[in-house]
Amino acid sequence: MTSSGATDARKGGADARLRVRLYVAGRSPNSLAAIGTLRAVIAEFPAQGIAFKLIDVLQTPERALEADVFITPMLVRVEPPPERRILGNLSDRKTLLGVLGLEEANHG
Amino acid sequence: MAEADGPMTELASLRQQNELLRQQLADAAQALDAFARGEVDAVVSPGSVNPVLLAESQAQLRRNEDLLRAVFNGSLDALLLADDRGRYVDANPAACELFGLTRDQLLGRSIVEFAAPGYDAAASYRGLQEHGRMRGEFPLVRLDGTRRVLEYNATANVVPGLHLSSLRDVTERLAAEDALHANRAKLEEAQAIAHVGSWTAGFLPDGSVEWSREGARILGVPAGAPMPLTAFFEIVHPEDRERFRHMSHEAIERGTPADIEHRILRPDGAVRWVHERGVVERDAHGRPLRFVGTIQDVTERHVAVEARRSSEALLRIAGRMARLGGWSVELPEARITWSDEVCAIHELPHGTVPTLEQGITAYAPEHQGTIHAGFEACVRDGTPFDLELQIVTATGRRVWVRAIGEAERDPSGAITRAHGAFQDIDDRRKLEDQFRQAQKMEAIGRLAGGIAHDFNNLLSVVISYSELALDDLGPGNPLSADIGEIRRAGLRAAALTHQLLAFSRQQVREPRVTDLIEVVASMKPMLGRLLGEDIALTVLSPHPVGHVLVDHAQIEQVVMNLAVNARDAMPLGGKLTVELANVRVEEAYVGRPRDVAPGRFVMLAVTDTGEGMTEATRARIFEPFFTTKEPGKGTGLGLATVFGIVQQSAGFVSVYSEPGHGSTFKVYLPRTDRLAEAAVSEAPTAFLGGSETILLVEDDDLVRAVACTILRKYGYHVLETSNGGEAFLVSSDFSARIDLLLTDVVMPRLSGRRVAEQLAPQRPEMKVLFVSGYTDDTIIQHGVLEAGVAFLQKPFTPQMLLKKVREVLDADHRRAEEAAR
Repeated sequence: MTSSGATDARKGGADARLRVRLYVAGRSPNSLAAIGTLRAVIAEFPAQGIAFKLIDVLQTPERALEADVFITPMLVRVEPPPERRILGNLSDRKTLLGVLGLEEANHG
Repeated sequence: MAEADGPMTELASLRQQNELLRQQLADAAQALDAFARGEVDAVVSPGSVNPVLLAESQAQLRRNEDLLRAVFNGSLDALLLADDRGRYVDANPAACELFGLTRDQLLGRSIVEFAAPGYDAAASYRGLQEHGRMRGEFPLVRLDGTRRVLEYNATANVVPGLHLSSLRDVTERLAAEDALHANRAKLEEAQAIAHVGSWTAGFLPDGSVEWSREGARILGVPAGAPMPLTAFFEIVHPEDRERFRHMSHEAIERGTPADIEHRILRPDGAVRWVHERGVVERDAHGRPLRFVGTIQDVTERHVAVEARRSSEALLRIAGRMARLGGWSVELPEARITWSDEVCAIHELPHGTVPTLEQGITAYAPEHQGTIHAGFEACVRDGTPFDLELQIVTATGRRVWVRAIGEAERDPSGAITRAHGAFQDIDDRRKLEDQFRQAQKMEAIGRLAGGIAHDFNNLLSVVISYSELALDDLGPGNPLSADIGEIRRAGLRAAALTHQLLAFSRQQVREPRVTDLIEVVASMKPMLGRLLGEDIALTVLSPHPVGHVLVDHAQIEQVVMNLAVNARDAMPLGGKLTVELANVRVEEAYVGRPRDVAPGRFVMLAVTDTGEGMTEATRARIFEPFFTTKEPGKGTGLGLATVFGIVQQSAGFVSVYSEPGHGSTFKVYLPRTDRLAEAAVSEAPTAFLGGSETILLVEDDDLVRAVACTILRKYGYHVLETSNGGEAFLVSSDFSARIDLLLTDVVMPRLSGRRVAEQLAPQRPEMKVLFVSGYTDDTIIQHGVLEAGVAFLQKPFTPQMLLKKVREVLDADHRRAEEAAR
């Protein structure tokens, strides 16, 4: 898994409870918005040890197709199962936190 | 899921499945929402290599819509959307204001309701739908009846079924344009009447100039089209182009208002004069924006002005050359106008406006009464005047003028003005004076010459007898002293008559080519004695001077007389300078008499530091017998002699003198290119007597007697006769040889010359010696002795007579001796 299009988020390590992949289309506006929002949430919940991979479909479209991702930006929760997906620029914070199993009250 | 599990397990499983489905549903709903909101970027499809980027998101669409709405509402132009039937479905605030209605009132109404009577709005609307676009003017009548003119721009089906119109109220603009148009028409008419055009120009390098119709007409170029500035420069006449460029430059750089008259070379080849005025318009920072101005065709005026100017110039030139001006006096206030030349004659600045009194007092005091009376009579009863008077100029010079005047009357016969001419006639008067002076001198000269003839005979007798008596008495006799006095008086009288003859140009001259420097140098010791110790003599001849053709004795007399004159002007001592120089006398040289041709001269100047002379004295100094010395101290012949000798030598004399500042006499003698001749050395005559036979012819008894006495005393055999006839008889009766005919020249009936001619054939060996106190052209041509003719000037002393006789008798011997050597 060392393709040039992917970047492993080392934070949290391989044993992290929460693993996500974000599929983006280069520096398109919605993709940039999604990346920014996800990073902000990861920084907001450091205790959760969220690991994420960024996949650029313009660089490696085949990896998107492997994961049945047809439209970007797309966030895929890989761990814990079941797999959950959020389409769009992650502007709906409530949905994002819900899918990631995080609660507003948890952070202090 | 195992079927063996219990219902609880199944229920949990179902719940779990349900939860999963619910989550998937939620995810799907979220995905749809996100898609709808345009939060997606790209679609990855298995069929194509590259993902497809979505160009516009829904959000952008929405923003565009907002933008469009803002533009629609914010537009200053009225914007209206109408449906297919022409009913308004949307209108912006500007439209509402234009129609004078609220949006609600406006929507649902049709364009047809607002068209002015006679305008088929329905047809226009159909035309719009047919053609897709349309523009034009629309006469609007508001519901309250007010009328406006609109400019519209309509597009059909901006959205299917909707048609957009953009409307603008141009009522004021059209009115302004109408007014402008009317003004421009008036301006053009005015320009055409006044022949004044106008222009507006941009600036170089690619500026252009726009001409009004009249401006274009003046230039002869088509009206309407702007012309490049470079093309206009081509129309400016080549000779005026530099001046024109300079003017433009000054106007742009310095803000000088442009004002220039120049020629143009029209495309049809015509050359016209135009007058242009212009100013540079500038922005708030002073930067030039454009050049605006007027152009006027001034060719006719220019031609007229030129013609007048050239005729005035001619008049002025003529006036200047003739020293002739004009004057006028307006009555009754006596306002004087002087032309430039009148001012110049008075040596006053041009434009001087004198009073009548100043005009009168400009005349010499002794002439003021005359001009005053003349002018008074002229303005009183119209008597014209024509006077020659002297004025005193602003610098104090006296100048002869001719003042002519006449009166001018108005229709009623009253004298309103006097006017006339004023001419400087000083030169003419001076010439006339010169001529009068010359005539006077000539008359005096003739008189003096006549007297001198008789005097010379008497003096010959007086001198000769006193010498003979002195010889006879011997030195010890008490009578010797008295007779010596008689002899001296006779010699003085002889010198006087000699000078008189020199003055009257009847002296016999023997001109030789002479170097004046040598003459003056040889005279220096004698001049020193003459001047005395109190007068310092300086001779200046810095460069060699040319030769002149003069009689040595005469030129010595000139120098002597001038030196004596200078000495007498310096009774208390001073300096006398004799200067020699080559000069070129030009045509215009002041003081050159008319009969002396200009050319190369040698100038001999004698300058003293004495009393000087007044103008009145200076005018008369060359007159014989004019003297400023006490009676008995001067003969009054010294300068007259100088005058006569110089005139006889084809030269002239000029005098410069001021009272108290000494005098300078300048003698000008014409140069000759011939080389100087060595003076003929006279052979010493040791023995004055002789035994030859002499035939003497002399009509004056006393002279004949004394001549006989002298000659016989010294051993000569003398045949004595008193006229030509007697001489022929004596000659024919005398058989022996006659060696010499000694004859007077001027005798009644037969002149000495004729006597000599008639005796010559019979006596070829006989020599001839003429004697005269007076010369005429029987032996003298133009005052010069003919070659080979011997001559003795009366009065003579016995010594002179004997010496000359011996000389003539021995001439052949000497020639023979010289030939033998």
